[in-house]
Amino acid sequence: MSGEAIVNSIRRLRFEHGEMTQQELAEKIGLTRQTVNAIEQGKYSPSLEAAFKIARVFGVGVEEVFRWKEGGPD
Amino acid sequence: MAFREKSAWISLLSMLAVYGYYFWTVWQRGPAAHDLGLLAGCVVLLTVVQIVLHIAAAIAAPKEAKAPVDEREKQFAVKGYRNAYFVLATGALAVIGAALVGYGVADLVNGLFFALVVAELARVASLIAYYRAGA
Repeated sequence: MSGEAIVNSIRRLRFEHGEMTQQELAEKIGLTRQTVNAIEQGKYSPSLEAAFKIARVFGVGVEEVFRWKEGGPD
Repeated sequence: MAFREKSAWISLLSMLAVYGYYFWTVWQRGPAAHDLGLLAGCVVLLTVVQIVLHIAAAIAAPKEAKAPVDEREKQFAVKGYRNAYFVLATGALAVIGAALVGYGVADLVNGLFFALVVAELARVASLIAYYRAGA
């Protein structure tokens, strides 16, 4: 899976939620810290299930966490 | 370094050392050499070395060692097996070719075992590469 066209707001959302660490987020959604880091850096696009879990942790819709980059594919 | 990457390094380096010794010894003895005792000893040694090193790695990072494999790591594993398949298929074809041109049973057995070992090395090397790349 390539994350080239997808950007995310995980770093900002972690900051807004009391500087939640990648490890804390990883434990809440059942992924490893390395995977959360890869998602955050756009190196790995998570499954739909993981994307919804991340959004649920922050109490927002999935479209607020992930979105297509301007000019990216439809 | 994450526990599972460490685990892949343990597998890669221990296999290179133990099976490298086995194939070097057999190769030096010349064509048609085989030694089931040596092979069995190498397999036992490799098993013991890997168990001990994995226990040590798990003691150093118990939380990571107990954590279930996640979706990204499963993807790495699948890609690793895919890469290993191509290596094994190539090796199997080479052994078939060797059989057709008249190589003896000992050479064919060593050739097939070599293909299995190289395929496994390709699998763990792939894992390490994917973990290093982070994607």
